[in-house]
Amino acid sequence: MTNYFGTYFGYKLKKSRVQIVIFAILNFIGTILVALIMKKYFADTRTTLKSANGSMIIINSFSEFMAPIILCVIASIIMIVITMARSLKFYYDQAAMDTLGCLPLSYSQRFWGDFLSGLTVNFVSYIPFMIISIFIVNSTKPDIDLMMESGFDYFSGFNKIPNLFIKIIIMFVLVYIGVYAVTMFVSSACGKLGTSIVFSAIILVVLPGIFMLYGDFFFSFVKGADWTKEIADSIGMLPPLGPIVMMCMNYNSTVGFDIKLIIDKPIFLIINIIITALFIVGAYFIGKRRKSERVGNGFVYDSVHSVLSLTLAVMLIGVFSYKYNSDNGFAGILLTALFSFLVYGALELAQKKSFKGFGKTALRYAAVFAVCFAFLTVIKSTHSFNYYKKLPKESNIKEIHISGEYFGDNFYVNEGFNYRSEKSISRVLEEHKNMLENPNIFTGNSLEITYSLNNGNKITRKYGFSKPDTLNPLKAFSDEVIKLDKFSAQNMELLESEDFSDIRIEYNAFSYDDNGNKLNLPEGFIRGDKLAEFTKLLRYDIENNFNNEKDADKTGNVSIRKVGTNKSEFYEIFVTYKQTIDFMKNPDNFGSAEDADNDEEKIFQIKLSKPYDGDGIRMNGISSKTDDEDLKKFLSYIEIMDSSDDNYSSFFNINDMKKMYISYGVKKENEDAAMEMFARYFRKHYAD
Amino acid sequence: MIKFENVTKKYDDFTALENFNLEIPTGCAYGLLGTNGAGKSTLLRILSGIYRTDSGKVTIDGEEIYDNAKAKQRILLISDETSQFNGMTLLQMKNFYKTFYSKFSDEKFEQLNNIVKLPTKKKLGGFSKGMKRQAAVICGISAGTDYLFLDEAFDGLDPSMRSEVKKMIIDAMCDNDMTVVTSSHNLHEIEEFCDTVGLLHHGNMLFNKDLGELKGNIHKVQCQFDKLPEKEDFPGLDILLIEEKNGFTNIIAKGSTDETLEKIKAKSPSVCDLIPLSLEEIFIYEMEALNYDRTELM
Repeated sequence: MTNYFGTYFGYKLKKSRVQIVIFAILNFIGTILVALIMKKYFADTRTTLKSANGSMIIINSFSEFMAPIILCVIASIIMIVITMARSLKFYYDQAAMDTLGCLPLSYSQRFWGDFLSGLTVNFVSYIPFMIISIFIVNSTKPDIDLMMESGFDYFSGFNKIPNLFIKIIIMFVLVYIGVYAVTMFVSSACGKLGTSIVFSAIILVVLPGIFMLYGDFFFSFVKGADWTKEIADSIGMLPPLGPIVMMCMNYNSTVGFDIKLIIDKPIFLIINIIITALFIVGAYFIGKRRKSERVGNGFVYDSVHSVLSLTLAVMLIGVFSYKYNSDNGFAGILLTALFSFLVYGALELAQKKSFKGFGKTALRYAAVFAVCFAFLTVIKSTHSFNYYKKLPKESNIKEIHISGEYFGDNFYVNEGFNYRSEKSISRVLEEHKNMLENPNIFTGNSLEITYSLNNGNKITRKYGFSKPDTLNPLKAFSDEVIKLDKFSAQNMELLESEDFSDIRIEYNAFSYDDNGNKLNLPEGFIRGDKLAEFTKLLRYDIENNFNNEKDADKTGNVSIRKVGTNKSEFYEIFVTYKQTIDFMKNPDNFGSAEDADNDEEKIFQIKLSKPYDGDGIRMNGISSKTDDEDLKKFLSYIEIMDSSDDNYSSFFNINDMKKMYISYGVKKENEDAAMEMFARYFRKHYAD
Repeated sequence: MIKFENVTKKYDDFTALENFNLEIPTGCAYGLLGTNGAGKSTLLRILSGIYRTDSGKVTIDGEEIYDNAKAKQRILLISDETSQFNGMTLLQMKNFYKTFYSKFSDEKFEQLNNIVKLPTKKKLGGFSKGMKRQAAVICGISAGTDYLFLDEAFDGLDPSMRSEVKKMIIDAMCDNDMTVVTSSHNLHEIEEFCDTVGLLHHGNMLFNKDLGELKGNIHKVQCQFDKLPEKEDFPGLDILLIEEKNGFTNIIAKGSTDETLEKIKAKSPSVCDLIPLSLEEIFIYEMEALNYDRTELM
């Protein structure tokens, strides 16, 4: 017997030629075009920096790349719902059912023909475009060193963009399959195209909606929990749109490189795949059991309308539950019931176009409301089942980070510290449990405890204290617990590293000693044997002073940067670091000017925050070519300024790298001339 | 052979077929009669494997049809609605069927289209209803299936086209030993085309007979008697109806022609003529004999 699956698949694709073209356009924009923009951006940046020709495109974050991707994804999702629903025309149209229903196909052949042809309509362009765009992006990674040299040091995460882009477009494959699965699932239960599209869209929104709304309610009673973070970190497990919501909720427009993606969380990936598979299997069996004669009915199964509308009701109750949360008592309940019923009733009437059976609708709603309300009440009265007391098991904790405000004099306590030893983890956990016995003392966010678990997850709790005296035991605890860990437990990987040959001291800023006297330490670079000696001394001083550093004792800092990377660590130097300071006092320990590469000898760090009108260039540079005439002219405009003096331009931020504590500025009257000089210097400098 | 065994099909509270039994022999042209909602389309869709029965079994040559791709290769339904193909040209429609039916004959298609002369490159959406029907029928016949089911296939065809289409189907039946089941509520169409007819009413088969046998077995005799006779006056004669019209007595009776005339003439009527009956009249009399109101049935 001939198997006509392939024939049917081909027929369905042929019928979807227009959709294939539309998807191809959207996919091209969302993948290849974005990749090309990215490539152009990196290339332009490099070219502009090197040749000083053309205008520099400044992209302050990942947003510029994300915007077209997200717009295309939204358009694609809408297209998927419409395409998939329309491709099941025989579910809504008797003539189509008569024609296709009697074809020599089994149900399985037809189902997979429909589903796979639906996927193909989109993926026939998406997959190749995705692969091409990955090649494009991979071939044009940003020249980080060049960008760093040109002053784009705040783009330290820039090199993450290509990888992030690749992960995102790969993730969308799963998202799209999920949207197909949900639409197929809903359409299999609907007998009208309109109903199918509308309810597919509703289910896509309602599922994450319920998750977020009830999650919000739940976590609002968990002392110390940040509901946004909790939801944002967990909603990704809910396909098909959860991963996108998770990505967007975790997206920080200024440091967009740290977007959280399910592709980095295997367990979320597995959950997504399982739920998507369940939708597909559900669609298969709903379609198999479906009665063909129900073509033209809104819903093929009587229960489906109830399930869908009640799901919607559950979400609506969730929407208005904040009234219950905020207005203790009867008013909150009444308003929640009233608002949600009004919306639900209106939607029901719009669907049925009649008041017939409205009494039943109201009764059904009342039952759902009672169940939801009971659930919300249990959450509220039990403080979310006392979830706030739930802390991770000691054996599952890799490290604990504690940071806070006004905890005491200890520098590292105030700055935040990672506790990694068994002793300290055990002690922190014990103290945390003690604190939770009296949760009413908390208010605000002055203490943050983050548990990093062995499985990579993080649990964060933030607490504040309403009365100063409640803070004192915590201060004592902090001073106590920080002594349990050694310096090696700190997050100072470079200093810990034995690969010192890769590390250099970039600059130091020792200006004053503990008596306020200038130390007159030489500046420069420490290299070779001296580097090893210096880091050894620094380690010694940190280890021996570790628990006694006071904010007031800070005298400067050193920056250690790994050669060839952007990775750097800053170390505060305290007056108690006697050996380090003694080392720094000896000029022989520093390399001569000849030892250092010219381009590494930074003299002024100049930031110009206003785009220069002539070129549209926003400059942010570190000058090093001291023999340049334009720079000399520019430097002639700068002078030590009083920051409160309004006569100075607010666009320049100039630091003398040798005298970090002195502010320089350009007088307003010299602003234009200085800008021009600096722009000329800037272009010339990077044209080298 | 098509076989329905105790088939029940319900739409919510409405029963379309109830404990339905029917056998249609291979090579037969079966006409399915009934009012709108009688269950004709339901029966054809069950037969085409589109609808699933609630209970009972439907087989074609012993094979169940529903969800059976192999059995479905041998059947084709031409629905009363062809809007599915509105976006296609006749050639595309032909290719659609050709890809799914391995016995599809291009020659047959050309031959049939030479008769009806439909434009092959014009979208079917621009065709008249009759032209769409013709398109569907010539594709259906060309598909070369063993069974062809036609749902109100002659609706919208003008008399000459109707005649052409019927001829095409009859030729196909002769050539391929095809079994055709067609539904209609028009007795004339069935009469000209089918050899067996069945009347569906409220999900039951009221009537299922060979047309030749049916026609040869029921007679209308126009007579003139001095006094209007009663059924009892003709013992041994299966009289369906005696009525007086325009001074004549019409006797509708079942049985052989000779025996009927002999028994009537035995009562010495002044006039006694055998009048030919149309299928419609035969149906009306049969149904009235079963105490059905004919207006409800046809």
